[in-house]
Amino acid sequence: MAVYILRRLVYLIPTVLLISIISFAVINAPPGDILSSQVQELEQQYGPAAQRQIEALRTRYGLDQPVYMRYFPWIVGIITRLDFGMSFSGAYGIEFRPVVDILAERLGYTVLISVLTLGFTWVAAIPIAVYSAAWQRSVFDYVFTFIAFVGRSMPNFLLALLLMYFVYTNFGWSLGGMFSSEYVGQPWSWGRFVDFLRNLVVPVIVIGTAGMATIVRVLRATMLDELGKDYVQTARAKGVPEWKVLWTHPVKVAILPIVSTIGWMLPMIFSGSVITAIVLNLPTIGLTLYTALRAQDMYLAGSCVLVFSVLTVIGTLISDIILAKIDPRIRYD
Amino acid sequence: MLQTNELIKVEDLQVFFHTDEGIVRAVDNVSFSVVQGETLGVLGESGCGKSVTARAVLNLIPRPKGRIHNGRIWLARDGKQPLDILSLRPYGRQIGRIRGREVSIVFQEPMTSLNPVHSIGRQIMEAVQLHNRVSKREARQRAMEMLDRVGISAPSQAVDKYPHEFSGGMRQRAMIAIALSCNPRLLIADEPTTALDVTIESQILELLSELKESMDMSIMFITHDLGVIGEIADRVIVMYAGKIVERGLVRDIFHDPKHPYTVKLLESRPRVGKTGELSSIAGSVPSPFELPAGCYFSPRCDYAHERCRQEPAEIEITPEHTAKCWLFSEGGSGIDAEAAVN
Ligand SMILES: Nc1ncnc2c1ncn2[C@@H]1O[C@H](COP(=O)(O)OP(=O)(O)OP(=O)(O)O)[C@@H](O)[C@H]1O
Ligand code: SF4
Ligand SMILES: [Mg+2]
Repeated sequence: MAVYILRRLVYLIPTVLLISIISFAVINAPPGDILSSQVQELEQQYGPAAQRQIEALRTRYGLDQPVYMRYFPWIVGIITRLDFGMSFSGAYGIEFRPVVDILAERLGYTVLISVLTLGFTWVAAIPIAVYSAAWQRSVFDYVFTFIAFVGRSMPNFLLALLLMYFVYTNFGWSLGGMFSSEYVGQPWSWGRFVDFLRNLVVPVIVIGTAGMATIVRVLRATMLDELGKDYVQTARAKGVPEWKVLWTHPVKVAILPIVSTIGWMLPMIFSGSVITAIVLNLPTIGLTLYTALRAQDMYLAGSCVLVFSVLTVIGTLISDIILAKIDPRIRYD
Repeated sequence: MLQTNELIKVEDLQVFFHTDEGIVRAVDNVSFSVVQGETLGVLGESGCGKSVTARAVLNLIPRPKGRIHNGRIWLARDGKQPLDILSLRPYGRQIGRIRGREVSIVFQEPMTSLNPVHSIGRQIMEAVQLHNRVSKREARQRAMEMLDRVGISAPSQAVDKYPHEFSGGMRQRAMIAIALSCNPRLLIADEPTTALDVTIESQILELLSELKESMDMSIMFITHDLGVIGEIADRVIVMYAGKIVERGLVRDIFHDPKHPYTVKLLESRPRVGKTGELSSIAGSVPSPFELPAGCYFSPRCDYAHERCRQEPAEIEITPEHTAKCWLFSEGGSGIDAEAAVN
């Protein structure tokens, strides 16, 4: 098992490198990145007076060089010094800012919200799917199939607005951002922590709903399949109570295809959360990537994609490890 | 209700499936009983309702498609009134105490009857722990004992193996180990050897006979194979299209068959070798949606007659031997005389 994990971790390196090359190339393909336009602005405003500064920028960031000459210093910087380059778009400050600072600010929150969302999705989706399948065509089944359908098709921003409205009118909480205004920039305290959790509820529900609907549909179908199999009858024939038959026999088999989706659920959550992040004003990396791409802020965008791909690959690895743990038919070699 | 030595008695069992094409009368008015200590053979071609009968005994008919429309299944209990299994809630606690403990079942398909993600040991222990007050260690001990008993070598290793690491024959042995782990009084074996090759088949049959003696239980053995019936059964019921057409002691069935269907089965048995697949009779089993009027066997019967458009009654030939055929009713000529006429 340990060898298996180690080998998977080694495979992770070329995969991530390849993704970084492709994404960097794509991001740099269209002309007019933010640094070039800023340099142009400098030229127009100050002319020859700024010549030295302009030259310095050109050589430092390789503006006249082909894309691969810009890529190598960047990736080498990441590997050797954890230096992800600079962000040039003013949105994050007046001056240039190291990308690594922006990432550090947002990564923890992004991972937290993604994991919570995934957890919420599973905890809510599994019982619904299991009972829908067990009582196929019951009122329960119809109601939740309908809700899942609505959840699947309703745009995230609409759900976000509806929930914010609902929470505001019923609990009087005004949500948006990571914290309510009185806690922004304050040191951690119990009140701030509660406020932080409270502000997580709506995004987690909003981002989780679409994924939940998918899991309910898939798991309900596989459960129906499994419920018809002989081994379930064997369990019943042993005298096992029906609820225990359900939860200890077919669920454990039907869950396997869902476990393998953890890998791609994570990036779906990151990217699916962009609009929610805009509406709810959440500092996630998905939102950062979106603004960086719009501004053609190349190092920032490239770094975001890199972070996503690493998280995705890790997610896949985690799901493979869980699969290998619960499915005895999987071999590690 | 129950005669003194009867263990289980099925009365007027009717099981229908409501499918998109129409109603399938899978089991239609079937009555029989299993006596303590005997092996009852249930014989019939594919689709005649053997498995449905077997599952109905434990009320394991898949809902909502399948429904038990009628019937009683009396189970004898020591010193208590017999209990009608069908009167119990199908998912309730009471029937849970009968399943796996009083009556066990081994299914047709060893490849799919075991849970692929639970170890063999866990699947035996599940039954043991459910019906006995034992610790996990004792249950595991019992699981190893059972594996040893059904002839699986190195039980202390086999107990931690998973079904995919077992061959078909070993899986069926494991199924038998599960079924017998709580000393049931009745074992229903639904074609337990059909999916296995001949050598394994005879090993399993031997094992069952041996276990039956040592554990003092009755067996309801379902098969479409006459050779197997001859080897294992004391009494036989012959089913055709959801009904019992003939019943008798195994020697009555083999040496003095009455119903034209049974006669055909015996005639079509290959002379060489001892297994006889029941596929070589002319014609085919009627579709459940186009059952002939009267006797369901009439389209394939050499003795079919006007009166066969009415359903024949089950006629007693000897107290142990009955046939559901007009030939044996009053005024009927019996099978040999009739054959002479043709
Ligand atoms: N789940 C089901 N849904 C619909 N029809 C069914 C179902 N199970 C059984 N039947 C029907 O009931 C009839 C009897 O089936 P059963 O499985 O008892 O046959 P069998 O005698 O066991 O045959 P085999 O030797 O092939 O196992 C068949 O016509 C079959 O199509
Ligand atoms: S009742 Fe008639 S058709 Fe049916 S088996 Fe007897 S003789 Fe043949
Ligand atoms: Mg069958």
